[in-house]
Amino acid sequence: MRRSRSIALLFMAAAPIALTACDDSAKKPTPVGSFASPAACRESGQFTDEQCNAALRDAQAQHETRAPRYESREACEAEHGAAACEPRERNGQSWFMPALAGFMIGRALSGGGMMPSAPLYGSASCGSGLGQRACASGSSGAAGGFRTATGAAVSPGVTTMPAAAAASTVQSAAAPARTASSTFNSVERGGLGTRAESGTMGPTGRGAAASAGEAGS
Amino acid sequence: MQRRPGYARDWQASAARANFDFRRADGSMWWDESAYYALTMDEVDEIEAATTAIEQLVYQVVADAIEQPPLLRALQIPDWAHGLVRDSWRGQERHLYGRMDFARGKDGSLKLLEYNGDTPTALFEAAVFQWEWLETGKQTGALPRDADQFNSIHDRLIEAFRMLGSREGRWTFAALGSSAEDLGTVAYLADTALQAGQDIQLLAMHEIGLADGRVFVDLQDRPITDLFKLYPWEDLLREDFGLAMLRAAQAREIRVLEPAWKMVVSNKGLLPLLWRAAKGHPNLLPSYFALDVEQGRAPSGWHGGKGIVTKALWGREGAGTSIWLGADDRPPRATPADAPVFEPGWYIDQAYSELATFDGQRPVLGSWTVAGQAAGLGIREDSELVTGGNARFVPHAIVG
Repeated sequence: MRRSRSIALLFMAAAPIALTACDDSAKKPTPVGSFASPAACRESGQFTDEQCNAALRDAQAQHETRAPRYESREACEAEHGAAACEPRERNGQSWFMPALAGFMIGRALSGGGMMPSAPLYGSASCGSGLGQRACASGSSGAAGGFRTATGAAVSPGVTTMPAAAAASTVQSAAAPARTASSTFNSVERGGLGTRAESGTMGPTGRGAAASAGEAGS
Repeated sequence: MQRRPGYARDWQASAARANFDFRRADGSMWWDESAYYALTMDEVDEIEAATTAIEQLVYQVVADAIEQPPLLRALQIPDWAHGLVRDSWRGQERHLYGRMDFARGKDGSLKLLEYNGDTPTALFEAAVFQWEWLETGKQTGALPRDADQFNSIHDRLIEAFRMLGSREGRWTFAALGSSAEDLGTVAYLADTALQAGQDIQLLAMHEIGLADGRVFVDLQDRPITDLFKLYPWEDLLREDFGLAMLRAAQAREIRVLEPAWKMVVSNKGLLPLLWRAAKGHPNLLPSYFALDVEQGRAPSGWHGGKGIVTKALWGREGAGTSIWLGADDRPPRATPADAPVFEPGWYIDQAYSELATFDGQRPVLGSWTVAGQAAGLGIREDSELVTGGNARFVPHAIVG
């Protein structure tokens, strides 16, 4: 393997990364779209017909291996909604997994590059415990949102959130959102990332890089 | 290897599409495609073989060093962190990436200048943007149709994150919020993790929380179990949360990329250790700890008479590097401009090697490793002897 076959970026391309909330560049939209069908994808105006169809095909190809697996239909439906799950059996093992409900599509870097894509699954309505958690941590706050294969809550349509927030939309919904008061007595911040910014390195010769506020090289 | 004129295209539009910030803070260009380097397949094979050989040698040297406190002290790794480094290596903690910098000598040799094993950048340029430059050139006929590139970095990063997995399906990426270059690097790495099926989140280093003095948490106070930090271990350990990080990492409550054993690899002290382990290796330059040179423990004439390059153990982007040319055995111990005093214990001496120049430029061949495998090439060039903050990234192609 001497050269990468194709290069595509899911959320980075055209999405300036800024971690400081006051930075205006953080308000530019990200290019990630989540759709139930190629038609919805096309109607967004962000992707061509061909790209939408290719993304769906790619998501279908990834589905069998990447879909989350559950021991019971009940557990699967609790996450993905009623009647959304199918049984599977292979090599003497059986499980339930959600049916493909949509696909995620990113923006290719240039002509010729593959559009990155990923399968999406249904999300249980905001009534039950698990579904509620997904709704609370996801951005949509409404039934009909998607889950990624790893459980992230994703809202339909083209994401138009700041990059940092976009990253949070692909956070796992599986981990409960704890609050400091319920889990920890106290949380401190600011105890990391101070040395390279202050440039107080001593005789380590990092002055040049440090004064520019960079840690990498 | 030849330096050839580039082809004309609206690359700034490509850069904008890729959200690639090609200008430095002072407005000067960091990406330069007015020229490119044309390499033959044989030359690429040589770089790949040298990278593979040195990576193996590095493992041998790390395995040796972690058992010998005096060696770790020579690297200025404090005693209280030795256990962390040792456990990290013995526990076979996986690593993600690194960049070996090679240079062509005037005599055609290929020599390792240093190995950025902990926090290398210029990754997106190498993995993505020069790949796009090649594809565009081939499509428009500006480059030969059979032109190739030594660059599987992107595919290998995704594969590496698949292999790494994570405890809770999520990786947290952290960098200094003030550096556009660092943020771009972690954003790109996060993208590859996302494509590997991981959930991701990006944080500024200062946003990482410490709960009850013990558990590292994100902005929602969820424990961070898998952390990529584009931030040097040697700085991290000396900060307010440093000891907590040491304890959590050693107890495996948090997994950190790069792992702590990379402190040995990202340290310029690796160079004398490599030389000691494989004296005369064709890809190594004679190197000694400056303290050993000062105190007469290096053999006389060890540097071959061309000159000596003094490098700070933790110097990055050429910081803390000074060059002395001459045949005398006594290097000038001038205080580097960016250090308050010259303390030999914080430096190494490396034999100066005369680099081949191309149109007056001195290219440094950045050979990337991903999960320990040679993965691709990114070339930076500078007209200065020390490749520093003014270097420019120039794409490459394999032709003929």
